[in-house]
Amino acid sequence: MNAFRSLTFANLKMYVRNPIASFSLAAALVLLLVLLKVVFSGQAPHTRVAVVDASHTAASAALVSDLRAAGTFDVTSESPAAARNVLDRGDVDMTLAIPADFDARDASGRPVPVRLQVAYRAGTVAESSLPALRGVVEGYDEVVLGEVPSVSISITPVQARASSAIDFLLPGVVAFNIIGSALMLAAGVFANYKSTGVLRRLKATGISPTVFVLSHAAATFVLGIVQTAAILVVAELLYGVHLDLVALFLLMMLGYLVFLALGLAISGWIRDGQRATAVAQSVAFPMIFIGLLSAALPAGVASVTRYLPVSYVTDGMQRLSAGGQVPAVGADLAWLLGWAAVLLVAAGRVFRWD
Amino acid sequence: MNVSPDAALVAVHDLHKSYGEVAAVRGVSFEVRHGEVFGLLGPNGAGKTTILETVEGMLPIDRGTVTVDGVDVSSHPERVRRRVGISLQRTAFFERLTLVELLGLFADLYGARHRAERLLERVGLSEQASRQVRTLSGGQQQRFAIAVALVNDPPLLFLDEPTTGLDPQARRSLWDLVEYLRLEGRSIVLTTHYMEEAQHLCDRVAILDHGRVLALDTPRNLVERLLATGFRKDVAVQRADLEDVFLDLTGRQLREG
Repeated sequence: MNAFRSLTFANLKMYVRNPIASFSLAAALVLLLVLLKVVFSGQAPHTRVAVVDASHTAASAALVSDLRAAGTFDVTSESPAAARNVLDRGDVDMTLAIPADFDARDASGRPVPVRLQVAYRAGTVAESSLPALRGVVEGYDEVVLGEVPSVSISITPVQARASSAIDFLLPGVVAFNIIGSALMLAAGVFANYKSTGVLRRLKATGISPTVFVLSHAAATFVLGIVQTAAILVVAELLYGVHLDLVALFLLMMLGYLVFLALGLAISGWIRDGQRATAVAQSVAFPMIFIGLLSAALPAGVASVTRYLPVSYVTDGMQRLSAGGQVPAVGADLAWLLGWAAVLLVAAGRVFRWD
Repeated sequence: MNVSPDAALVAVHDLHKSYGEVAAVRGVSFEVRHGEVFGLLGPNGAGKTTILETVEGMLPIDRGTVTVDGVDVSSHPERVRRRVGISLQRTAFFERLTLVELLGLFADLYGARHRAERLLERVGLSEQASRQVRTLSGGQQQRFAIAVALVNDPPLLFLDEPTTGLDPQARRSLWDLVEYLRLEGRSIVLTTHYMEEAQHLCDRVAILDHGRVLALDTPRNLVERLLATGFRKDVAVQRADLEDVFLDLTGRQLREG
């Protein structure tokens, strides 16, 4: 235990004494958030919605009004035929059909359950604004119609608040930071230790590789918490983002473990330090790209990339941004745990002191 | 460890080690006794470092047996490494940690007592305690490597070419340190390709080439055996050499970087 604690503290000291290597990425990401706020005022691209209102009631007008108030949607009213045309032409990103029996009551005066029909162009901004749409409908349902849920839509059930740029950017930024500090830093540091002979000197003490790796993981995780805290404080100050800290801690811990194991596996598999760093970069950058643009990936690509560990980090962060807690990210955590187990075993098999 | 003056602390029997098709060590046997300085001599590529690292448990053994204080190295390499002191030919340490911090870290890795100040004093680096390794001179780095090898207070030390690349003052200083460690009762196995160093420090030496032991005895016996064959040097015996001139002019005091 002394060996683990001492190595962890030694790693942390080295991180702190090398601030440029340790904190430049997080600082750049914080700067990105600030720039986004200054340049774009935090607004996301709007989703153009054509509403087909067959109900023409005060209730349907209230729903459309809520939609406009969300700030994410540019709403127009269309006939059913025109709506289909503008959607096909790409003049709008989404159509929302409100049925004629919207706000109808049964004999006892209770609202009759209705289903809104949503059609959207895959691969457009509409896809990523579906949670926000869902949030508007749920809000309408609770506030306007009372405690009995009666309106539903056939899209992914995510509780969402009004969507803004930060909802799309923050998960990718956090994933970027995890990949940068866990995968790329780990691969580079391990490869450097190997090529300079530091690992051989540690081997000469007879310590177990597990102690060495876990102490490094612990130090990197502590560093990651500090970095992510800085990012989230800025996100909170500029965008008012509140996240469930327990769920965030679990998501980050598993994220760091996964990408650290991946970095370790790469540096164990490729003995040459420079090559290991290059391979780590070529693995990291596509994943960073996927993380940052997860909301805009075409459905076909997303169906493949959704199984990558970065997708579980960004998906989990999106759910947390939408107000989710631990149960909401349970599946992401389970998948990350699975990835961590697989990659740690692989890293253990290819680990070499020299 | 058991202390019996004539007992073998290290026993190597019929050691073989290859790197792919290249046989680096071919049937080497020798013993190291308690309290002696044992030298492995040979030209580059003779197999000195390979033998040393197999005995330390740093490299796996292909064939043969090696025991250190009765512990089989093949079966328990980690156990052996935890009980001996090792100074590698090319030693590197974590950057951005001071000498004191590194010694504390290594003490924890060995589960040993912290005594950084005492170790630094012993190797003459007390004034450099708060410096980082990369700021030390070559000789200071070698002495620090020996300080780290002493962290677990080992009765047996392995020093791989400890004076290679050092200036005469630094080399003499390291010789003094090795003699001091021997006086403390430690056994030392070192490799070198400097014959005057072996003659000065070693109680017994094994001369190696092409992975085999060519001769093994005390330096004096080896010289006498050669002279008994009728060997004579053509050159007149000098009572001083160029190194003596160098040291006379520049002084024997160690230059600190």
